[in-house]
Parts: sequence; structure tokens; C-alpha cells
Amino acid sequence: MTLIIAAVYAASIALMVFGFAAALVKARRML
Amino acid sequence: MIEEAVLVAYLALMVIIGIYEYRRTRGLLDFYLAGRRLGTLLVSFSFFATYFSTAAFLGGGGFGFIAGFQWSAFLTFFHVLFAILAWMIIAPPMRRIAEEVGALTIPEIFAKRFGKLSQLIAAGVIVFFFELYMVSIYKGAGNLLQVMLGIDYVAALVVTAAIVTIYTAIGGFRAVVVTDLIQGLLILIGGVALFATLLISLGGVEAIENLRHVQIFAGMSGEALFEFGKLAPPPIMKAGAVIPFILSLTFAISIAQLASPQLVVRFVAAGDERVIAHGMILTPLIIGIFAICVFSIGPFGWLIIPKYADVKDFLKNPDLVVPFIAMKTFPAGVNALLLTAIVAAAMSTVNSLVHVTATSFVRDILQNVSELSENAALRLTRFMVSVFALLPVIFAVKPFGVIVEIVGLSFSVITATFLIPVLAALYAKKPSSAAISASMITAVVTCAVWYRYFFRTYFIYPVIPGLVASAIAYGVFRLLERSRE
Repeated sequence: MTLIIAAVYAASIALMVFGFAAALVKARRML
Repeated sequence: MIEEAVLVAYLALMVIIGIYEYRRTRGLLDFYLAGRRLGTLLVSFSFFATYFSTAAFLGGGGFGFIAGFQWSAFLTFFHVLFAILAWMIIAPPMRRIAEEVGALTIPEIFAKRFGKLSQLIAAGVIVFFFELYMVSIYKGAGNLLQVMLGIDYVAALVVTAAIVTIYTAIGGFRAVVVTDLIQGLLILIGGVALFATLLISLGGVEAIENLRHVQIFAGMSGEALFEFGKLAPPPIMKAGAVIPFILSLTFAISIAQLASPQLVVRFVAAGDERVIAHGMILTPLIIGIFAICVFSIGPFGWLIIPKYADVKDFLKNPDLVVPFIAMKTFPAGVNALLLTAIVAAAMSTVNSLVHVTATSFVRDILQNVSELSENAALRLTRFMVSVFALLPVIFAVKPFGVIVEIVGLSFSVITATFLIPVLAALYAKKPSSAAISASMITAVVTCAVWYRYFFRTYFIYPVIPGLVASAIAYGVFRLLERSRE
């Protein structure tokens, strides 16, 4: 798999993890 | 036989839900927004199911057969990105503002923030372009039922439309979201199960290695499936426009999550802040998992399809790739699950589009020009659900010239028209009717002109120029207004 495609897949997973963490923080602030 | 039985049982369940929710629907607020009392699971799965129609399941999943893993990777990335943004920057203020101004539809939020002209333009775009957008979804469902069950195409269209009409017209938004929850679960389970079974049956990581050595199309080896900027439909490869095509299309499909009225209206129906807070954690995860699995299925078709069929048919119509892989991968009985999941995907999108179209037509257009009591408006909305659900079926039976063009354009127009007004409604300090109206009209015109005259030269999807032009129009009008002030 070329580097770019592997990096985009990895970025998607990283984004999911980051989004999950950010949502946890924001949700805690909202409630 | 088992496929038909599962499908019939599923369709019957949808009608039963419609009847049950009919008894709980007491007024316009219930029919339009489920009384603004929805919980996290309903809002979250309804958002997910509405967004992932057959287009995502069959198109998103199948197109990797032609475009390789670059398609799968970028489509996944943009989906996750915009799902997070939709829930973090759109959902919280959208729910709060809609409740403050007492709006029942998205164009009504525009009316309260910018004035009636923007409401009428938004409602006009919804009614016209959603009707034609539905043609493509009906076609997807009809083709699938025809290919997998051998049902007559027209009969398949009529059955799909009739069931959606029944439960949406009688059960309103509550029926839409409850059926969406079931449909969303089916889509998620069906998609993830298919990807996992496929990988296991192909030998896990070994499948990726095998894929490199197969012969694909245009005299290339499977190695091209892993490269960026190499594969696309032949006219795009010839034009040397693979990268703009892949990036613009994956971006355009995904950004729809930020502002499409049928999606963001879910935020308006959320019971309270807690629902949005929990949805923000749950929904991007569901979307991410689904996207990684389903969008990565297509390229693996090269290890299966050439053994059984002529690949030309699949290169011509990549929507067939996912159902074909499913038929060859799953045991006979489990096929029924996936077939039902794909029909579910179509229905969950159509019911939401029909609901938004009918509610906008009555609330944002008719109630603006004539006095209607709440009861009359409710009865009329139910009637219009039937009209708007059945009308696209006529076009889907035999789409002709201009209809085909508008169907191809409709998704772009909807996405490009609503993003700037939604952001301005939620974040602009001084709402401006002229700037918003100009941005919406500019988006429609730009998408149409680009699609007609430039798309087939540059292969940049019309959403991008539409959005850019819409943002510029908004900015220019705001500057003019400020200079006058």
C-alpha cells in the first residue's frame, strides 16, 4: 500500500480516537 | 426463498411501527419533530441511517473496485472528519436556537434568523431537488431487488415507495426515527459482518498480498489498486484528472453531513443537551467503523468477481460489486440479512427526504401564503408525504434526458446551498437576509452551470465550486452591507 493511502487510513483511525476524546471533554463541559 | 421471507417480515415490521407511532402522534410538533423528545440512540442512529443510503452502501462500497484503496481511504477520512464536525459545531447550537425560536423545520430557522425570503428559497430547493434526488435512491433499491431477487424493476419500486409512504404518512417523524434505528442497526451489522467475513474467507492479510498480483483493467496489475492518483473511470484517467476527481468527490459526499436539512433536523428533535452530548461521542464512532469496513470492500472484488463473471459488467456498474461479493461470501441464509440491510438503507434515506420535503412544503411554503389550522396543516402534510414519496417513482421507472441531469446535480445543489446559511444561522452576529439569499441562489446556479459545462472537462464535483461561489457571494454581500452601514 502506498504511503499516502496508508497514512490516510491511519489518519482516519487517529481522527476517530481524537474525535472520541474531544467529544468526551466537550460533552462533560456541556452537562 | 429465505431472502424473500426475511424481506417481507422486515417490511411488515416497518408498517407495524408506523401504525404504532400513529397513535402517539397528536399534533404538528409530534409529526414534524417527534415532540422534540428524542433520546440519544434514536437521534444518533437516525442520523447514521439517513446519511448512509444505498448510494453509500452500493456506490461507496463498490466504487473502490474501479478506483482502488485511494477511494476507500479518502472517503473514510472525510466521513469521520465531517461526522465529528457536524456533531461538535452544528448540533449543539442548532438544537438550542431551534428551540429558542420555536422552529419546526430548517428553513423556518432561516426565516427567524434572516427573514422569509431565505425560508422560501430553502424550501423551494428542498422540494425540487429532494424529489429528484430520491429518483437515484429508488433506482438503487429497484436495481438491487431486480438483480438479487429477480423481482420486476417497476414492482420493486412501487413496493419500496408504498411501504415508505404508509409508515411515514401515518407515523410521522416518530415512525421515521424508530424505523431508522432498526434500519441503522441492520446497515451497521450487515456492513461490518460482510467486511469481516470477506477478509476471513480470503485469508486475512494474505488477501492484500494476493490482490497485488491480480490482473485488473486497462492492462494494469493489482498494484495500481494501492496507488494514489492512478485509477478512475477511463475518461477521467484519460483527462489526467484522477486526483481532483477522487478528492473532490470524497470531500463532497462527506461534507453533506454538516448541513443537509434531512440530517441536521435530527439535532432539532433531540430531547435536550444531554442527547447531543452523548450523540457526539457515539455517532462519529459508528460512522467511522462503518466507513472503514464498507468503503474498503470494493477493491477485494478483484479476488472474487473474475472467477465467476465478466468484469466488464461490474466496471460499467460498480453498484453491483457489493451485492455480488455478498452472494459469493455469505452463506445462503445470511444473504438475506445483507439484502434487507441494503433495502433498509434506501428506505431510511427516502423516508427522511420525503418527511423533510412534505414538512417544508406545508410549513415553509403553504403556511406562508395561506392561513392553515394545525389540524389542516397536519392532514395536508400527511397527504403531501404520499405525493412526494410516489412522484419520484414515476421518474425512476424511465428517467429521461433532463431528469437524469438534474438527478446527477441534486445532491450537489442540496449540499452547496445549505452549508453557508446553516453556519450563518448558528454563528453570524448580524444575520443578513440579502447575503443569505444571494449565497443560496449562487450555489444553485453555480452547481448547475459547472455540472453542465465544466464537470466533464475538469472532473471536479460541483459541490466544491458551488460552495466556494456561495461563500464568496455571502462575503461580497456582507461587505456591501457593511460599507452602506
